[in-house]
Amino acid sequence: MKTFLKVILYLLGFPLMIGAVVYVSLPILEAGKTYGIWIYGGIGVTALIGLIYLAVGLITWNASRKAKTLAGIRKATAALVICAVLLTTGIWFAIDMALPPILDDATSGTILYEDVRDDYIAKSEVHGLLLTKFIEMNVANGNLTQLSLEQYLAEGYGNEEVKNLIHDNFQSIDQDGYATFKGPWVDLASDDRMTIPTIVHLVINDRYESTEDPLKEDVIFIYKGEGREEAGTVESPIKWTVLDMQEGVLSFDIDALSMMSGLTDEGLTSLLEMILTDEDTAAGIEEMLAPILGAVNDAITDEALAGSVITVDVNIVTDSDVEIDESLKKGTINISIVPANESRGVWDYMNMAWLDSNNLLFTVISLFPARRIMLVFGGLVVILSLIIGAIRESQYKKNLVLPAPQQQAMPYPARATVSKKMAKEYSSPYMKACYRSFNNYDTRGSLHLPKSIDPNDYTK
Amino acid sequence: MGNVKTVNSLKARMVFWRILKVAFYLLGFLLLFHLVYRDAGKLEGDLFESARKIPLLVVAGAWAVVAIVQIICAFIFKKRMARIIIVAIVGFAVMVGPLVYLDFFIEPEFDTLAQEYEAEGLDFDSYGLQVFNYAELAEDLNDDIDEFLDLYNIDYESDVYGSTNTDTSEYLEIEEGTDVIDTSFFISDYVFGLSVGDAAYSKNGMYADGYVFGFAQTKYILETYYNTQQKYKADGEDADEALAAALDDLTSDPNSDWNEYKESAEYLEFYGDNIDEVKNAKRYYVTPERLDAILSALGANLGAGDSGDSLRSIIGTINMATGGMIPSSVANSLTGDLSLEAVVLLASSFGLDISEDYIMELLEGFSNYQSPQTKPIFYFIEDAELRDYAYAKYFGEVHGGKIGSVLIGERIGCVTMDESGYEAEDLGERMTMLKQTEKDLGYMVKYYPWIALRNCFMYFAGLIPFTIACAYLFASLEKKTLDKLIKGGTR
Repeated sequence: MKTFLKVILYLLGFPLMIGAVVYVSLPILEAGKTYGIWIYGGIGVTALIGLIYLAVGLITWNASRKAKTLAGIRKATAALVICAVLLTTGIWFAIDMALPPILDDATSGTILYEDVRDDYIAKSEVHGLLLTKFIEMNVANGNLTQLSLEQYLAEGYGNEEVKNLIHDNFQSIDQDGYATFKGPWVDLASDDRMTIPTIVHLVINDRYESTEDPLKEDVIFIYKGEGREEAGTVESPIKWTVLDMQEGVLSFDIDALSMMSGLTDEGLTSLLEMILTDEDTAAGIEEMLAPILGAVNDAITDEALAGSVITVDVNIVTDSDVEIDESLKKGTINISIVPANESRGVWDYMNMAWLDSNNLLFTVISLFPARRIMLVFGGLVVILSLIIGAIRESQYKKNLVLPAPQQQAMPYPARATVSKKMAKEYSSPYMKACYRSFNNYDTRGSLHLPKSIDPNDYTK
Repeated sequence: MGNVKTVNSLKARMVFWRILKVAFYLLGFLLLFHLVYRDAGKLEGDLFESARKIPLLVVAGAWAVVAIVQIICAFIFKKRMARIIIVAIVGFAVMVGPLVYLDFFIEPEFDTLAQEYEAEGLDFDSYGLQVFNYAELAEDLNDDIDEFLDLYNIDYESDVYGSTNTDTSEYLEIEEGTDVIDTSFFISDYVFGLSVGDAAYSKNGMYADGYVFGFAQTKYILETYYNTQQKYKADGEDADEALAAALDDLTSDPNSDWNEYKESAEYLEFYGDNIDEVKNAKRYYVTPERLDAILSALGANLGAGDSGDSLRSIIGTINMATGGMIPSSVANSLTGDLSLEAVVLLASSFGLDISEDYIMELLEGFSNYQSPQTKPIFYFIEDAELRDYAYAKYFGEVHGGKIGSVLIGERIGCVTMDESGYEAEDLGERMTMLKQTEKDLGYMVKYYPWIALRNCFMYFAGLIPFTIACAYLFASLEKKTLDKLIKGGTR
């Protein structure tokens, strides 16, 4: 019965903990289901720790079974308890100390340990969406053509075509984009210091040509979209702009109606008012502007300007726009500058870097449900280990055969059975003094005294 | 059976005394360490990062002294009471020592400081009030500095972006307190704000391209700028006008040091005609030639095809409404031949009298680049005060504008594509605040760590000798019990 109880207690410890880790990891498994084995990092670590605990449990079980004294059993219990603490709280204490700087360094400060630690489900969803949106963008622009969108989404990172496209496109935006900017400007822009001089520098400064950069081994022209003659068959060189490095569209609102207050020409004023307030006139002007904006966009691709695709768009906010979005102000001119990321099927630099290492990041994220459960279970496993120890003690006491009276009377066990440990124990000065104080007793064999000294044996 | 009970009770008693011995020993310094850690933690922020450790080091030091004395006493004194007395005295001394330092050395310093503050018209709380209120005062100081850092979009410590300058030249990071110019690196014998605080410098003695000011450098720039302006104002002059005149002299006089320097090999190496060289500064700003290329690309694309038709149509509509406001030459000029010169001619057809230089000056605000490897024009200003002013103004306006931490201008702080910064403040008021902040910073960082441990040390001046004595006492009782145990538990 007691053995059965011990088995139950073992199951209540690490096996239950592994089950709990699997349960709380389900959202992460769902978000990163196409990343294969990478998402099972947390469960794997927990299972491994469970196996170690099991091995220690078996070793201590065996040790306590063979133990001749209660102290031996207690030592085995102590080992089991210490092991339980080290494998739960101890491991996470060490990881909490070591991992933050490693993660900070590996992600250039873009992923904070605290964010993942406390918000791992949201983080896994974000990283799952990185892949989903990437596939959607690349199916839409014709980079992925072999399967349907649903099939690509179902296969996800497991699809070789998707996997290769992710890594190739990151190489492109990294080596032919980020790494080509000289000096501090791209780092300033990436850290919310995107000033006009910074943009001007990033646009007009000469950049590293592939052959100029000593860190680059080869020229990478991998993007298969723009300029291709047939989808996926011709690779064409790509130049990335600073806007491709940033997230989203750069948008400005110009309150043109307010700015018109300084105009003195009545004819011009009434014309502009009509353009800015009359829906049909605004639509007509937008139509007239379309070819001009097209020409501006073409000019931007000239080497004298950005040398790459940046789309400028102008929209005059009219009544119908305000009906859709009440925060808009009628008569405002909205200018949008759209980078080429989406049309090329590439995230901005940071998200693309994350996506490139998404498998590893999912492994890191998958550790955190295990963290929470293991820390909570730490105390429980310690208590269970203590109870297992107590059961072992009670089993020992029950099985203990009392020695014969004459054996009890013996002052010490046979010399051959005394362990080195016992010998060391009784060489302490206190104990030696103790032996010396025994009246009428020959202390020459004192090293063989049993641990539990009952002076009654010697003073009669 | 009775004897067995006695032995067990002796064993239990021995364990009891042992626990008490350890508990009282730990209750002393370990508890003190914990409480001092709690109090020192009230000194928050980057300002007190090093200072926070001082109280803990003092406790650790005191503990170490007592432990060493205990070891020595164990060898020297045979009598336990002698050991107790000596160690208790030492324990008391290490507790009272910092208190004596505080009340006999630091308190008079506060009196001196109070007089200094009063003389400068600044606020200063008495020693007693600060001892009581140090945590709140430290928090106020942190808040003041945080507000300043937020206003100018900087951190307390300076930062530098990028591993090189724009032209891939290296920069040198200087630690606070450096006051000797490293001639193996710098080409200039003048380095702005060298000894003021940590900074990253280019070879020409100016800040590195990606350098973002820290608190100390920002303060120095603002002080230099403001104090020079005030001095000129007191003399009935204007510092900006004086600077403009000095720069005008340097540029217009063909024999000026600046113009001679521009002919030197050192300058021409980085501003020469060989645009293919990475170190050539002309690769990093809009020169008239580059502007021509940009205009040509725009003109060729805008004037051709549907775009040209649309433009002509729009111009026609505007001219109809305004009675011919836009000259017909505008639409015709939109070709690949569009250049800076053509733009100036177009402007004149609108009745605007602008020159190519004027356009380039306008552009300079957005596209300005100073080679990190040549001396700037300010270097050649002979008046040292005006030279400092020129550097401070350049860094506050131009460098700050590039990195998104504008120090001088109508809008200050984070002026970027997304943020419009803050309206410029009254620098006079800011200087007074900075004066107060700097003085507060000076003494608070120095003395508050000691004040932080004062309260705990006062309590523990009595508790430490007591706990030490108790620990010895319980050790003695433990030993006595062991002796009884050894002797058979008969007594």
